[in-house]
Amino acid sequence: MKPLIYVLVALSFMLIGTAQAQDRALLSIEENNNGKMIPVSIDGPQIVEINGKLEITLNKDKILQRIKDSYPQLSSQLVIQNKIDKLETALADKQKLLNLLDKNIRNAADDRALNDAMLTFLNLAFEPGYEFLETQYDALYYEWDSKYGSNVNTPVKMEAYILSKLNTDLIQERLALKSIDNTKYSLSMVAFLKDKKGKNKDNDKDRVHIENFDNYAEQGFYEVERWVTALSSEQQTQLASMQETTAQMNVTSFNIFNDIKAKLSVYLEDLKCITTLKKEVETFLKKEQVVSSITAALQTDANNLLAEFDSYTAILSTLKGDVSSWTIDTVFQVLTQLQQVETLINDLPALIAKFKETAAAITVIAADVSALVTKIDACYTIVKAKVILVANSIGLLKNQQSNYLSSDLIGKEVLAFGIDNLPAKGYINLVGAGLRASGDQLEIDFLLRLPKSSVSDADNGTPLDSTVVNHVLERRMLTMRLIGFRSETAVGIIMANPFNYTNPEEADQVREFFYAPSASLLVKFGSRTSKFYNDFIDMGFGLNIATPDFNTDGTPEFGFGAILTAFKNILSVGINYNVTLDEPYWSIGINLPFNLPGIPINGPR
Amino acid sequence: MALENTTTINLIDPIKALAQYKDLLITNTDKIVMVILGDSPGVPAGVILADKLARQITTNENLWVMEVGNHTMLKTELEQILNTAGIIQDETPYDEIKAFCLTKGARLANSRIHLQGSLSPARLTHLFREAISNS
Repeated sequence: MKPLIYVLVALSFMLIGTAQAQDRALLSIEENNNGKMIPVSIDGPQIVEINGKLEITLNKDKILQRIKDSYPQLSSQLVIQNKIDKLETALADKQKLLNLLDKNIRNAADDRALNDAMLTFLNLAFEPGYEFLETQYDALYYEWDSKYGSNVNTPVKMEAYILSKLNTDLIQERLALKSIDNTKYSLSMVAFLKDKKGKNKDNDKDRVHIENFDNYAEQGFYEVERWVTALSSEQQTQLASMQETTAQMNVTSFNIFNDIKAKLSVYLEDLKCITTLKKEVETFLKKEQVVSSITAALQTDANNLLAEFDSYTAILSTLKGDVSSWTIDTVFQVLTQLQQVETLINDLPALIAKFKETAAAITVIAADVSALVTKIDACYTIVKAKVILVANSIGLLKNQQSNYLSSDLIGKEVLAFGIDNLPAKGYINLVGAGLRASGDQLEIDFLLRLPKSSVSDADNGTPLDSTVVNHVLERRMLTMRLIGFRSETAVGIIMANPFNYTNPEEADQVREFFYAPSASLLVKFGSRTSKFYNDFIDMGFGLNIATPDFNTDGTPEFGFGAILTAFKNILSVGINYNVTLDEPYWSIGINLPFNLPGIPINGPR
Repeated sequence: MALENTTTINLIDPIKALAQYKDLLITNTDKIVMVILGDSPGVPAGVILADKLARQITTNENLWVMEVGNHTMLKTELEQILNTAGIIQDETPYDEIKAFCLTKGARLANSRIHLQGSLSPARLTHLFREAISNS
């Protein structure tokens, strides 16, 4: 009994987790299947029909909340913007209402129109997110009531007063938004085609047009055929030669992370001048002339400078460590150390100035002091410049986390919106998405685009540059499949075992199996709910033809029959008939996607 | 404050109460009537507010308020109306309803304010407007 309870409890937690993931989703994706909308849940297998039409609905309230939670620097403007957005929605019929309210005598149609519009307004006030509207309505009613409520002929009707005051609120909120220091953020949505392993396809061909969200042209009509009856040219070649076919994947992805690390390593090397400088100061202090004439004040200043150099060197050695071993996570730890370095660098000018001032009083060592100060100044200039570069590089590394999308992936065709004019829906017609194959993926990214400086100001205090950083607020990876039944052709080797046949040439040998090339026309099923079935089980049933050579005379015979395949056609079992020799046989095929030396795949003798 | 657009149901004499009910809701069906039930906190102020709103809401319709000071008097009659409207459900028994509004004619209710809800200007106006719309 107990294990059952544990399982039920675990399942409950899983279900709760699943529901929470769906609740948090910013995008609701549905597939339009001949008018029937099928939800593509964020916590499900996310499989869509490869030739389907997708409808993406954006949840503005959740988007606002996500931005406020993740980017507090935008919070105040978003709160105001949200209120403006909601007030604009509530007051959409304001003018119509005021015109109707202006009439002292209304006909039945006008009276009904007035009532319907006011009811729509009030209905909105009770919707989630509009609580402020109800509160404001009540407050404004009492305000009106105290001014005019007791008048039989009020100079302004109650509803007109409330609407006008709300409109004044709207104007004031707009002014408030203008007055605060706005960060120019924008929201965009982009979609890309990826291959089965989630890697980018050819850069020019991977963009997928989302109606309402970009101006990309569709990549060309390409419908993945559901009913395939002919062997592809590749399969024909494969069948003719029965050569091993190996898929070579040239993974030459540009690894920005490593590139930045390499640059960072060079910058950190340049920061080493302080270590050298420390030695210079120590040497200076040991000089005979300096020892004999140094004052207590200069000694203190020099010690302070050395202490500062020591701290700097200690942090630098930790910071540098072995840059090559840095991971994305390391970057966050390094940011703290970098902030310490920046503090030290900021303290340096005061210490250097103090040292110069004190040393200037001792004329005997003026020449030595001057030489040392020149070196200190030069090093300080280098360090100051390089620390900025290091900060920039670390900022870039930080952005290499998964929620970063490089600007060059987003063309000028992608439209940018504010929360106020963000379209409610986007549409993707996958048939227009260009060349793709079953199992390929569709990545949909919903982005918050911020000026780089505003992000880095908050993160590490250093502006990076004036361009835009794209933060992925939500990423959906959908797998495209031919859902339902489809046909497929397959070629491979089968091992044919005749039921009764004995080769007269090999009468003295016991031979069960004969290798034979075969081709099959299979009916398969694509599941919308199970990746395991699609990617692993993948059963097929259909017709099979083969050319065995049971009599080993070098001339292939012709056989046909039924075949059952599984595991991406790797395993097959068939029942066949050798028409040439009038012999039934059964067959088994194991067509692994690789070959071993010695497997006789180059045709029967 | 004198109530100008309100009928206060007699809570002592059921016969008189029923007569008031019939006169307001059955014999005359030209008024849109807000029914406020019980004596929970906020009800007296809510009745005054609803009475004022009945005159202040801009409409060609005649708006009225019926105050029933407890959930016993006229329960049979009012509960039937609310059952027909599907407002009374397991989680919302009659005793937990504070206010609802009836249309002209067929005397239909659409929504209600729960005992825990507030008889605020927005909510009372919403009930009136809803009944006008359904009349």
